Amino acid sequence: MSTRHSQITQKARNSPDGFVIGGYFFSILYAFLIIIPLYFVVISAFKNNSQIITTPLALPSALDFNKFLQAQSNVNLLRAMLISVVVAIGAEILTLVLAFPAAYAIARMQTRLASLTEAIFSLGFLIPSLAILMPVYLMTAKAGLLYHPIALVILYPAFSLPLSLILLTSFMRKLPRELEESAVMDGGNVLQIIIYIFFPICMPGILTVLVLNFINIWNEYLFALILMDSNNRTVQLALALLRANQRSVDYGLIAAGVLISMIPVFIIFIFFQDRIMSGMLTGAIKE
Amino acid sequence: MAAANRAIPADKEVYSNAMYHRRIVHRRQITFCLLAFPALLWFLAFMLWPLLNMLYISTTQWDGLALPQISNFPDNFIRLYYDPNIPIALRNTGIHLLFGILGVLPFAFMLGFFLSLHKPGYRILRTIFFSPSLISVAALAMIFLGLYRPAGMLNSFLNTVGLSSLTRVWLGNQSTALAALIAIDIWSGIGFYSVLFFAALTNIPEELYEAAMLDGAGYWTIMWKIAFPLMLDFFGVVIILQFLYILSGAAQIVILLTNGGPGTSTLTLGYYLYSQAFLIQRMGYSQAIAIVLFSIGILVILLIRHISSRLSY
Amino acid sequence: MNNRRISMMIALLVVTSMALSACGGTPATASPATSAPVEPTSAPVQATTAPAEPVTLTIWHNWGPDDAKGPPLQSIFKDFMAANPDIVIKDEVYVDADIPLKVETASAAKQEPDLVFVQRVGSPQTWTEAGIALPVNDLIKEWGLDGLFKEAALKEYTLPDGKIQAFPLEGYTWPIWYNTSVFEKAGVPIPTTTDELIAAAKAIRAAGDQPIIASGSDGMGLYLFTLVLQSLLPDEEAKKCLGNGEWTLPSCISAVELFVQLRDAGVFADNVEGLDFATANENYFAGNVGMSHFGAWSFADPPKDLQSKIQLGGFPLPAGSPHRAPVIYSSFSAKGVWVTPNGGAKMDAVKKFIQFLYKPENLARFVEQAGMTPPLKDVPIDASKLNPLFVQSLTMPVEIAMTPDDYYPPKVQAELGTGKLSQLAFTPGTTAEQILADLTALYEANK
Repeated sequence: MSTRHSQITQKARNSPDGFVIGGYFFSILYAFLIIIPLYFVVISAFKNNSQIITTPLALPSALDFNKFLQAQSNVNLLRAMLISVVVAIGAEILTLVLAFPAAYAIARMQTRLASLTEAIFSLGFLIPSLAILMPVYLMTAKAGLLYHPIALVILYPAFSLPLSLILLTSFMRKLPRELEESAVMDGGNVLQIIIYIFFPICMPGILTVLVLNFINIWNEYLFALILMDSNNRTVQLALALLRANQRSVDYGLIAAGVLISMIPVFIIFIFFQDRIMSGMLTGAIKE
Repeated sequence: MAAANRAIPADKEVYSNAMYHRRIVHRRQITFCLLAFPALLWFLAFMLWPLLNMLYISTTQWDGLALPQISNFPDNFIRLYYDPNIPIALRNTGIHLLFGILGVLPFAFMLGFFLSLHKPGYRILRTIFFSPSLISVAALAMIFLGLYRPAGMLNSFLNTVGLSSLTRVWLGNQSTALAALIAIDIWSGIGFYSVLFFAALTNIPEELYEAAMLDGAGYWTIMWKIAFPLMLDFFGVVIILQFLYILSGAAQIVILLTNGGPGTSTLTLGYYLYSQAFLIQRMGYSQAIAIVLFSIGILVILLIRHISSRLSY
Repeated sequence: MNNRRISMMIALLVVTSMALSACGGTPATASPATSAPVEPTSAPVQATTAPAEPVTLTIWHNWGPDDAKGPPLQSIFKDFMAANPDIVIKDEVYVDADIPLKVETASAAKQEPDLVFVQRVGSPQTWTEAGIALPVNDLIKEWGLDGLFKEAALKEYTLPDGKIQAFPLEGYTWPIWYNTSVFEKAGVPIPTTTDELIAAAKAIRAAGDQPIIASGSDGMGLYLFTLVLQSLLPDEEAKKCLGNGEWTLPSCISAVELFVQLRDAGVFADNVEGLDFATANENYFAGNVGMSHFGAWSFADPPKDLQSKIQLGGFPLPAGSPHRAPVIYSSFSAKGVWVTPNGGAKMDAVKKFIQFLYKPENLARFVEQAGMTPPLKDVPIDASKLNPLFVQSLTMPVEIAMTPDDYYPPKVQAELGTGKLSQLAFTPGTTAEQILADLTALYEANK
């Protein structure tokens, strides 16, 4: 250990690192670039059109919740949100039930079938779903599920599967072999391995997949439009109706509707964010 | 092989090695099928079938959902060949991909690395960074219309800081419209992927960093010499994700903001597909475009995976 | 810990299925989008021939509570159901642009609604031929509506083979709105010729205001662009350019050059190529814009203090124009009532509803509350209840130019409707040659 070495370690520990300063600078700059537009949407919900257009960033003169009430009464936004949330939960669960075992199979069992399957699923990304618009509608009608949100719960996993599989597989590949081997030593079968060992450890990957899928499900428009009726609108359909219902667009109304619809998304994200942390503490690095 | 041995129950008879191996592999294949079968089934039903549908429709003239499909092979493909919009769309999509990937992922990685250092405030930053991706497309359109409008926030800002000469009609100007749209994807993409990188990077044991720091390395060196190589595989996944999003998903923003215009300056392949299918009601041709999209997608994905597996030995 | 996760998932699953079964099981009752709930009087009359169950008529439309025509429509539904206890109307509100897609997919599975209120422009044009909508010629005769419709209205809805596509419902005028106070401030009269327009534009700008506002970036601006072209073109020539794409005709070239000349003379507001409909609205209603191009659907929108300053008229005529007065668009294509095969199976109920809807005094509700131009010849209206702008529109000194929508090749219309091409036309610097080249290419590509 020379003096020079201890000087370097001293530097690394004491003086503010240029990297860290730079990191903070860019992070905060970027954070502002994000906050300002969001702030714009929030305050617009309390203003009328001319205020929004002429002074977009000024605080509203009064906290007038009229527009929120109007957004709700025009298109029954809360019900649309409930339906979207329920559809999302159902579709997410179904996606996981399908994708998780399959990802395990592909990642952990080295068979040629596995690589082939993975390749097939990768293709799924590229197929524009509008090619099956009519066939899906006809099938749904025949099954008697038209206008019932369950139709979406059954359909959406098909769109989520490729992404979920790829992500989960890539995540599982990195985990050490010892995990299975110790389980097998304890006399476990495959199903037990999956549920009790892999599931908790893959939590970060699972949560990533859940969040990504949620965003896609929440934003989906085309199939929800075709398969649902006005009683069972999803949130995007309700928002579109809110926008289109007026000839002279009321931006404040749209902002109010958009805000209401973003609340569950934010809640779910914040909730899962904490779980990411706890999921990682329980097990990834230990064994 | 050692694992296979340990799986043998102790009280069973010992067979020859080769037979054992075959039996284990065979059982593995069955287990694999059982595990993967439901997903495969779902997938085939909803993905293989649209693929076949897409191929079939692309050989027909189908001018509206109400009208019959008339076989017109190979007219749609001849049209593809001569259509002046296709090279334009390819170019625009290419530009979009280039900036949407290069302008997002490196910065997202660096921000994600910074977040993963767990400096004070990293949790708040992480939430903020992720929020653009939680915003629905409707809200996104509203925000950026408010930004890019002639009297919108961007021009007001430029006027306030004395850069009035830079103000322009961002979405109405052929030279700036595409850039304006790409900026939206960069804005939300950096934040989104930075959180994904953060999640992936937290799996790296701290000891690696500490060892490097003991040797005198700064964060910058650690980021590129240690973290980056470990993330190569993940980079591959993320590049594919962003690539696929821009190829097909980014059409929504074009639909809401510029409709491919002014002129054809924001005409991307994904938007062209949508517009031919729903606006112009030329479904057969739109599926031919879909085949182009599909082919590009496959080629690039294969390429990325090839490179990625080569690099991460 | 793992058991807890599993039970959490199971709980979620149970909750999900319970919630879903609650959601989907909504009974099919009338659920209009307005706040006033409609109560069907459901007690069936026990006559010998009366059906035991009420017939449900499903109607899709886009006149939600925010549309001026929403409340009158709901009041018609309500009164109809009160007068016809054996018929229940289930109306559903959808985004206008989505309705054709929904109808077409539903039709393929025989799930379409009974009646559709949608415009004629776009894919509904194909419905009669495709069997998605039933021709209404016989219905008009049998239901006593013959002779009640305006000739022009019926003609618009008549296909080349003589079939009438739908019952015309909503007519509109699409005038130019002049703000008299802006012109007074600039010290110029309301222009009726393009020379006057150019001079007025200069004066208005000098006074600090903007001349013509337009939504250059979307499909609405397209109609101003074509209106300017048509101010110089007789209908026959317009059919050749806009309908056939014969942009090499000298008359068509001159028309485009006129547009560029006006644009370069500054008659359009600054940055008009970047404005959308909402912003153009906003700017005009703020009161410092001389002219705008809004349809009758906007009559109820201006702020009160602006209403008295609005003078409706047509687009000023260039020298050599074949028209005798400033030109506007006006047609009945805004909304028609289409009858589907499903509706055809309930012809009796449909007949009662259509007859009720088209009673002049019932149509009058739309005229009075929403300023709609009715498709019938004699509709009694209480002038005192009318929107003042609507009243003005009845006596504008204008000439109606042909609606290009009727003549565009369908795919060209869809392309033009996105507004991309007209946006280029509004952009300063675009030459007439470029515009003509783009138009020619567009028509070529979509033959």
